[in-house]
Amino acid sequence: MKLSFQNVSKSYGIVDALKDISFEINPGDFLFIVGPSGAGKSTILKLILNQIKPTSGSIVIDDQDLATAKRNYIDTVRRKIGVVFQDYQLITDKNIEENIALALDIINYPQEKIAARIDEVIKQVNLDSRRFLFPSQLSGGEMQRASLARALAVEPELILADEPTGNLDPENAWNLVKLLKDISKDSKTSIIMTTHNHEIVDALAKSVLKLKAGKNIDQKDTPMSDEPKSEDNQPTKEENLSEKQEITVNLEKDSETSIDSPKKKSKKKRSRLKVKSKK
Amino acid sequence: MPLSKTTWHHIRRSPFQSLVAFMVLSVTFFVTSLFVLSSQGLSSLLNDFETKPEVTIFLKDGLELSAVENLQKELASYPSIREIKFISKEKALTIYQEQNKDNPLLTEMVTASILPASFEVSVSDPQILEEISLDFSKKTQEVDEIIYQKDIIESLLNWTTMLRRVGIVTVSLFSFISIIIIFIIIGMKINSRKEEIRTSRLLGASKFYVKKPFLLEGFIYGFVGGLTGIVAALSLALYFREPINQFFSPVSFLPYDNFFYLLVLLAELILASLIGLISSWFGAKRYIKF
Repeated sequence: MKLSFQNVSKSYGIVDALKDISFEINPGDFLFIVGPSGAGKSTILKLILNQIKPTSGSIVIDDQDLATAKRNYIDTVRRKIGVVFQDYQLITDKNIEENIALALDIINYPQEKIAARIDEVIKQVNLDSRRFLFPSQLSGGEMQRASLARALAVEPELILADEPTGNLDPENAWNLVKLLKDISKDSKTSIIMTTHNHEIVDALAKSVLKLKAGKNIDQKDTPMSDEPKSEDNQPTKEENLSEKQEITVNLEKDSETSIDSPKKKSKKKRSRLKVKSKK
Repeated sequence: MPLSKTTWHHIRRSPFQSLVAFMVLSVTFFVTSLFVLSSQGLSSLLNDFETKPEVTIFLKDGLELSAVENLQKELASYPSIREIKFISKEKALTIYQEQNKDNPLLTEMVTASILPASFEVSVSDPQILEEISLDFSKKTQEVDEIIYQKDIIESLLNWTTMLRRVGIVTVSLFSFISIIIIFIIIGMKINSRKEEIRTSRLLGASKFYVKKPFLLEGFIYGFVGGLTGIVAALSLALYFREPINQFFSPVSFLPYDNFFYLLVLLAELILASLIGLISSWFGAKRYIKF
């Protein structure tokens, strides 16, 4: 799925939630959106889902401006997006299996294949023993994984993950991010993830959109790593620095994971992800 | 999750609301069925009166045969005449004796000479009735007395019309109340499932996808509630058909043709299902805004 934000602003009355944000992502891209609470991270995800409309600017998905898109197109786009909601948004009177089945039913997934697909994603997020439990019987982390399972089940072209590691312990948080990264790499699924967790952002060489009070204040490259860096899964400063250099080399070689940043404008690197700063 | 399972889940989750919707439709269609059956019975009564000789013209004694034939010809010239029957003095005596066979005293004292000959005239249009009566009452040379059942028919007509009007108003009122109640219940159910609907919409469900279970729910209330009410009323009618028909004998107040009951059942069932479907459609349209 190709997505671009072109000078998008969103105001709620006199409060500017987003101001002049532009970026573009292509199939397989991975974008982190970071920033403090109220910076506008969730607003971006709501705009992509067309839950809210921008005050100005345009959001284009697969060459179709959402402002002029018909209702059916919005529904079709939403069916191609897997969302991990910050508040999980699991249906309380359905068990985990039924929650996933609902998402599959919505996208018209073949009925005879639904059970097998549920099995697959439930195992992927390690919730096999909890599949018949209701959301109220799960911990915050388990609900977050259930929400991820529902998002993955529909084999989306784009995954929007709103603070998906917020309630997870470091090991599960790392596993989740690794899972998202693998999905992005293997199935060319684009991923947009909002997070407060700078350690995760720092540990992956992915594009970062830094927001503060609705404005894009910075973009940067961060080192990439696929594995936990220490016993508690957190990379050390020294490791980060050494890896950063190593990754810089990799980025130049690997166009698929490359990013285009004002700080790094190597002509060798062909960027598929562009983040534009409008300070 | 299949649509039927989702709908059943909705019904089961708020059983009292579902029960109210079901009961209001049962009562509505119980009352509707009773009105339909009563209206049919009164129509049969009216039809019976209309097909009976409606005007009896008693002739004076000693009329010549040619005069009687002229009167018969004149009667036949009126439009909408169904039947003209001449009752001679002798036939009148036979009828009198048959009617009073259990009372020999009455029959012994009466002979054919004291009974008048008469014409019994039946018409298909009650309007002609008054015209014949007026015209023949002027023939004082030939006509002794005229009796016709204007009052009975008028009264019966009034009753039938009134019952139909009351029926229509009552059934409309009950149907309106049913629509409002189902509308409110579906609205309440949508409100209680607002988060689920919102999430489904964010996952890409179309508006029709999220409305479907509620539409099916309304249809089920209409169908099941209507069916219960209609079957209850028809069962009562069939159970009491014999005593009721004996009371109105020789008229069959409740028909013996079971096809009639099947027709009532089907027609009302379609109406009940439509009421359920339409009211839930309005409810879904009103409350599913996201």
